[in-house]
Amino acid sequence: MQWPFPDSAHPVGIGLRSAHYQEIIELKPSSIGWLEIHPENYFGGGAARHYLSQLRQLYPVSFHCVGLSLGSAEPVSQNHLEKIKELIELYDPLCISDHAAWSASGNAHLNDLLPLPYTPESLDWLCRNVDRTQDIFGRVILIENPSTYLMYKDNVMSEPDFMNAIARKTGCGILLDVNNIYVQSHNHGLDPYAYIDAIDMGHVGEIHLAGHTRRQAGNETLLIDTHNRRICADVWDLYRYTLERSGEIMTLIEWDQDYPPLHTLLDEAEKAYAILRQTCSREEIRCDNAA
Amino acid sequence: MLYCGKPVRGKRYAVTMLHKRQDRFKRAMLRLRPAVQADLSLLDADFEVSDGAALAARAEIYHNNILGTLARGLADKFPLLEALVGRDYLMLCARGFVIEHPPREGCLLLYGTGFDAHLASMSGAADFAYLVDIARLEIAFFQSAHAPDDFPLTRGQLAAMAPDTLADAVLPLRASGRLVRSSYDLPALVALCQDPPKDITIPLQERESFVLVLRGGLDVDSHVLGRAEYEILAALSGGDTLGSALERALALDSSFDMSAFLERHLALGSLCFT
Repeated sequence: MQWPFPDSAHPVGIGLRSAHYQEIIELKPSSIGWLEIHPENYFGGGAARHYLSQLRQLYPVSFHCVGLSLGSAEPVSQNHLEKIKELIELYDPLCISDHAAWSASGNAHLNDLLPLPYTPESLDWLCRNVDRTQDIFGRVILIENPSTYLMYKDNVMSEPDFMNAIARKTGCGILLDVNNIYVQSHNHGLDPYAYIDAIDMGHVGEIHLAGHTRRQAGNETLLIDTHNRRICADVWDLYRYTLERSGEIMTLIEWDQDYPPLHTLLDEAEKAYAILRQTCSREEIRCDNAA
Repeated sequence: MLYCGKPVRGKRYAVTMLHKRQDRFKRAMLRLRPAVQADLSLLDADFEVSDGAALAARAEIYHNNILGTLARGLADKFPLLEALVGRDYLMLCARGFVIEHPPREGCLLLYGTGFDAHLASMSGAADFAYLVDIARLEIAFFQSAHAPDDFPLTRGQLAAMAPDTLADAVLPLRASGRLVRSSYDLPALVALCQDPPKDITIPLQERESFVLVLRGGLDVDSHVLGRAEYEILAALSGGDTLGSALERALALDSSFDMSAFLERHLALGSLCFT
């Protein structure tokens, strides 16, 4: 397996949002090495494509898809795959990812990352859709572990086992969202450290970090994966713990609502970079390209 | 065995247990709040929760995410409508649209096309037909913003055409061009939305108007058209030749000035060369 982490690249990136296009072009901040986009926001022409083309001259980009609905019990939209393929040819992303979740059912795309039962049937559907996606893209993709608020009764495998199985069966990698592990563990009474221990780190190609929100839901307090605030101390600790097991892995700071000033995102990126440097020596860089 | 059918590549996919579960979940989500509470029985057999209250509270998070995110995203595309009807009423309309017409694809850039027809179908909408026209204008704006990139017809390309071939030339509207026709004075309504008067009464009068929405550079703008100018652009965008489109314009306005038309739309970059 070859992960895209280039030897010379800065390992930390941020999610690109339109509010920051101009400022990033003007400042060219050196505290980040790459930018992540949701390719669905660039299916059209106009300003979004114009700025992405400029920014691509400054940084590598990764594609984090949100619309493939790989976990649906139906094939991935051919039209959607072709549009992303067109963008891949234009912008040559470092890596491409989507989620172990579903959004589409029949004639509706619900625009949320919805939970899957961890059963052979779900695994079968997800793997078929990942296989087809990788065939069309001509590249391996990464699949992100979800954050959920409901868990199916008839799960026959744990979530880490489900993630490992997807990677094993399809050859895809795992995008390990450490905040999602924290949210998931709180919401379903899991041990986040045991979760990380159960992930086969040989499959992990990227890490996501984000903030979450605490919300009262009936008699419970749940964590909601809102991506609208700074990363909490517990998630930073989990990140450190993950890196101790994985070695250096390219890491993204996500922020998708209530956008902060750019310097807040850069500040979080610098914090992630400091932890990476403290935890991993340069020799330990997870870059199988060199292997 | 937990599932009852196995999908086969290249063949019709069997309806599996996962398919049925996802369909149940979808149906529980695409309802207004009280219906979600009532429909928890759809989900009860599927999920591991301590009791019905926990299921309701947790399902509500998804319901809020799905309905709230889609309706807010939709409402944000209609700032002029919001100025006329207020955020609360616009969100009410948007939630109704999401439930009746959920997105059909994972790209939402053009989601909301059809919101004008939804508004028109709402009870009492006949009294507020101008709202439907404002919605059409705003739909034209976001469609134009996300239209594919292309290149405008240049003076050089036009000059290079032999005069005797001009009548047969096909010069369609740019991909980002949208034509909007209204029984109301749309430019006046837009000005009203952008700078609302302190007096709450709206000086609304029926006066037909014609607008071209176009992304020239990166920004989308609107341009007021004359009736014949609208007709010739509509004919060109429908694939008519320049000669045939001109005939339609002249039928409406025998003094229609083709040179002035071409001059204006070369400057705006409205047309493209095929």
